[in-house]
Amino acid sequence: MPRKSASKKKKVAAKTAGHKASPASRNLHVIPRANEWVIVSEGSPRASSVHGTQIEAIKVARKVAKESCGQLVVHARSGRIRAREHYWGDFGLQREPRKVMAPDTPPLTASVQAIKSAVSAALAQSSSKSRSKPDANLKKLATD
Amino acid sequence: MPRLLPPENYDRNVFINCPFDVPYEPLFHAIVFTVYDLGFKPTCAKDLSNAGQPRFNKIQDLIERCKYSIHDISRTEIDPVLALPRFNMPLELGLDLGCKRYGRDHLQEKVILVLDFEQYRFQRFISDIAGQDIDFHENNPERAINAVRNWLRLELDPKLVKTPSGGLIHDRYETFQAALTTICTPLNWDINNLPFSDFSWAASDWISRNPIR
Repeated sequence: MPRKSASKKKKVAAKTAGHKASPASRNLHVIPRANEWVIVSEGSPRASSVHGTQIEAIKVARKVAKESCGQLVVHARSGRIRAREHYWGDFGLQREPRKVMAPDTPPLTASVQAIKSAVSAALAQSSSKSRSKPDANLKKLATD
Repeated sequence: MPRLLPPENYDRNVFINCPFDVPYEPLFHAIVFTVYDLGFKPTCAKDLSNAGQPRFNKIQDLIERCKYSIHDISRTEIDPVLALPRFNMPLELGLDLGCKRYGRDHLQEKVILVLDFEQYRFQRFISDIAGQDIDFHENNPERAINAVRNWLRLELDPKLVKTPSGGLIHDRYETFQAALTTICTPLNWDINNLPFSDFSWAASDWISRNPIR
C-alpha cells in the first residue's frame, strides 16, 4: 500500500541521516557483467576491478569497504540486491587505533635503519602492484 | 628485590610463553603480529641474552615486567624420544599465577590468557587452572589471532580505541607475510629462521606504516 511504503521510506531516511559519512568511506557494488563479476564504486562510471567469481569479488570489495568504513552491496545475476553489509558502525566516534610500540631489544642481524628501509621498499613495491592491477583490469574490461 | 612501582610500559607489555619449535612458528608469528597490531608490546624468553643470570631468573624478570601474559600449553604431550612431557610452559604459567597472587599491588592486576590446541583438553592434565581465561587455537593461526584479539580487546576502552576485528588482523597479517619475503631479500634474512627481535622490528615497523583506517 502506498501509505505503508512512504512511512517505510521515511524510516530508512531517518536511519541513514544519523550516519556520518566519512569523506573516505566508499559504497561498493559487486555486479555481474558477462561471465565476470565487477566491483563498482558508487558514483564512479568505471569498474574498479574485475573478478572471475562472485566470491572473489566479494572478498576484495569487503576488505575495501571495511577499511573505508563504507558499505558493500552484492547484486544477484538477476540484478536484484542479494546482500548488504555496513561497516560504518564504528564511525563518528573519533576513535583512533592504538599507537604501535617498538620492540625493546635491538635487532640481531641488521640495523633498525636497514630494516626500516627494507620495509619501505616492500611497501612501495606492493603499492605499485596494487596501483597497476585496476588498470590491467580496466584494459580487460575495455576489450570485453 | 621486588619493585615498588610498575616498570615502564607495564600495562602495554605482553609476555608470551610458548614453544619455540618450527611447527609452532606460524602461530607464534601470528600472535606476535596481533599483539603489535593492537598497540601492545610482546616479549618472550627469546628476548633474553645467554650471558649473566640464570635463565629462570630472567624469565621471572620478564613476567614481572608484563601486565599481560599468554601461556600456550598445547605442547605438553609426551616426547616420543624421551617419553617425558615438557614442563616448561606449565611451570612458567604457575610462576605467573603465583606472581599475580602474591605480588605487589600492580602485579595483582595481571591478566593471563591460557591457550591450548583443543577445547577443554586442559581438564585432563591440568584441571586446577579452570576459572582462568582459557581459549583454544586448533593449531590454526587465524584462530590464535582471534583468541588473542578477543582477550586483549577487553583491556581497551571502546570509547577511545578503535580495535580491528580478528578477521581484519588476519587479513593484515597475511599481507604482512607476503611483504616479509620482500623485506628479507635486501637484509639477507632467512624467512624460515628469523630471530624474534628481527621479526618484531619488521612487524612493528610495517604496522606503524600501515595503520588501521
